[in-house]
Amino acid sequence: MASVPLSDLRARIAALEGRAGGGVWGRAGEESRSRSASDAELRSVRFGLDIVERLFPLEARPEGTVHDLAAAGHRDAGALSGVAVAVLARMGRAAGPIIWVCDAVTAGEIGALYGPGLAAFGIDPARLVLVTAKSGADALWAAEEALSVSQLAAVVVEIGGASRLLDLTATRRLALRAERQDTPVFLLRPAGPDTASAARTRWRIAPRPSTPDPYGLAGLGRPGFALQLTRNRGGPTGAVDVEFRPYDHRFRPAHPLPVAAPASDRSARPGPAMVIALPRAS
Amino acid sequence: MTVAQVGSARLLAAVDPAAEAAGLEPGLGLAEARALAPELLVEPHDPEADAAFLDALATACDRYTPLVALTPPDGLLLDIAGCAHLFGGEPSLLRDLRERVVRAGLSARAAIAPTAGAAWAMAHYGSTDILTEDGVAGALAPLPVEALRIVPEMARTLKRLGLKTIADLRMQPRAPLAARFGPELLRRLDQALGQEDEPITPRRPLPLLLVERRLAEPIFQWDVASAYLARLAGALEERLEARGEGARKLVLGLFHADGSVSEIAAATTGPVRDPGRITAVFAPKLEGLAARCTIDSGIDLIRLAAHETAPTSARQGDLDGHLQAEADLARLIDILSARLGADAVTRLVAGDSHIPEFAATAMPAQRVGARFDGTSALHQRATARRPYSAAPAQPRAKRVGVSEKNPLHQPEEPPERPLRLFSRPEPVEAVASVPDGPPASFRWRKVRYQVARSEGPERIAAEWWHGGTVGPTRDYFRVEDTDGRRFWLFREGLYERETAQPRWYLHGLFA
Repeated sequence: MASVPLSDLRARIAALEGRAGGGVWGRAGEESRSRSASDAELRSVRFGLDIVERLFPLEARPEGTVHDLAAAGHRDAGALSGVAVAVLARMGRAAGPIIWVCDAVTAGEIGALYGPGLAAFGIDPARLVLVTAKSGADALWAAEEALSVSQLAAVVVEIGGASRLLDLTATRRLALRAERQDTPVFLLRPAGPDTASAARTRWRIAPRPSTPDPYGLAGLGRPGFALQLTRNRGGPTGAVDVEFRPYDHRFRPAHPLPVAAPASDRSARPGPAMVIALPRAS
Repeated sequence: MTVAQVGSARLLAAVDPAAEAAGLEPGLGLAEARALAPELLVEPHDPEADAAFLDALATACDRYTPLVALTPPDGLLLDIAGCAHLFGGEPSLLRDLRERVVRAGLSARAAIAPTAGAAWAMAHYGSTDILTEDGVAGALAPLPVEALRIVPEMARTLKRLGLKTIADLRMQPRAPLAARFGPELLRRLDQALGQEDEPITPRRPLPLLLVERRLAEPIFQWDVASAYLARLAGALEERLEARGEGARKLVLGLFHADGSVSEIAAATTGPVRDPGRITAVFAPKLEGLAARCTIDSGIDLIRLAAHETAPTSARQGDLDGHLQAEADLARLIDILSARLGADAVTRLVAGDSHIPEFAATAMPAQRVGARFDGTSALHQRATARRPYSAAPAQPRAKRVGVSEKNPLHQPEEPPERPLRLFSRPEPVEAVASVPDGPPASFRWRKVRYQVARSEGPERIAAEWWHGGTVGPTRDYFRVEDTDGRRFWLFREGLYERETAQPRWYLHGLFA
């Protein structure tokens, strides 16, 4: 058993789960040998911006699966919406219309999507159908109904306070429908990632301060996000800071922020990780 | 019996048969009535409840004809021209109506006549059920003048003059009558006799198209009802096809044998003929109805009416199946709107205002339609101002490359409008270093945010040219806190010119 390569096990699990490819990397119809080869190749791939761009391609509809995006709280909802809209804008107009479902309480907490803001972010607001459901359960129902139509670019489900509804069963149902219809589903959790999820990828999204202007101008920079990929079935995970350019729909690496002056008394490269027990404060 | 307060007096408004037998009648003072019948039971008069009940009764009568008018306070007028044969003729229609009324525990008088006036007169004062064209004059002749629907004072005056019956009235020369009582009396007389036309004002607008199914055996299952709905939708499709139209607004009426009526209204995205789509629009509402109530007395009439139609353009389907895609999306919008409400399923359209909350409005998607091709005005407006927009015709990569070589030229400013906007700006407590300047920090929802960067002000003045009360000017700032969150804040009112103590609001969230 020990001699079985990990990639074969992955392929077997993928076959059991009815997935065509091995994770988000495999293309349908590929032979398992080339798939394991690409798996091997991918295991050596480090997480970075290119992974984000492959997951959310430019001018193409991503694979029909569920992506789970969470922010730390309602006040970070701007960044969360920003990443979602950026990903939708990247797909391009030809991908089709988008159904964006939000429950009414969350819409009150974080505001409604704003047309001129969407347009400035590189997406035509007319591509969206906004659905405001009275409850989280209604929102889930609306999303499942939307997944009965095959021409959609994506379905976005935004459930804030009642995100307990988005449990393993509910996300599994959405994932099955998303796969059958080959339509990506984005679950936005503005109030945090507190429940289990059957999503293919899970992200934590935080706002990122503007890159300091090299010319000393004090204005706001491009929209920036701290992306943290915490789950990626069949691929690497990690964190990356990106900026989004609305005019060409591209993510750019955000330059590291000078948080503090470089330390002179220790090496720039961190040493091996250590766990240090500290006495409890209270 | 009921009592109404008229001025300072309390008068009887309505009496039941027992009270009538005791010699009481409407208009009598309550004290007098108590003297006549000390064991009197009195309820306060509630005209609104009476009107609501009459309206419910009218809805129940919709089963006979869509043309039902109210003659307050206590009458209904049904135009059954061309409908009676559906019930086996006028006598059996009248019998059916009476049976239903009695079953509902009411007592009512009904009559059928060629004119509305004659029918009203027979129902109130006559004894003949059904009048024919020739019988009208004869039947009306012995009736008292009140039967002409004239005000009581006029009837009293006529009686004092010895004109007690309609026959008396008809023998008088017309000119003096008109001079003495005005045109109203003669108009009523002519209307009753059919010499003057009397249009009936139906209680609700008539549907443009109507298909219905009468069930000899009442049905008790909701799924049977939806099966009948599918058949009616098929029948409606034929009628719509003949007109080259599709339905926009539909009403499904389920008439219960006990007289209650369940009505479901539904709207569609674009004109619809396809029976499958029509049933799909109603399906969630029927389910909701089935969950709420049971069919106790059985449904014996199902009616599907189109209240609004629109021509369907005979567009040729292309090879890409664009039309099919559009129809699928329209169907989805209908289903979502049917369950969540038409206002809950929206699309963004450009507004005619530069006030941020009106620059774009969320319109019901059913009204906007299900077409997603072409660039919207909102998008054009936002991209037109930008030199490097996402217009696909531009040799984009090349121009971007050029602009990136020139670091002083920023190809793209960050968005000037937020992704999310609060419908009501949320008040915040802000501290600014200078009165006109950007906030240095602010408190929103009990949390303090330290402002690290800001841009502004962008001054947005109220639209004074629209007239009316003009709100104060707003100075908008885009600010970023120390964690990188971006907010859209504004200060309301100009210092010294408009207000002494300007207030701050948070209006939106940037990405």
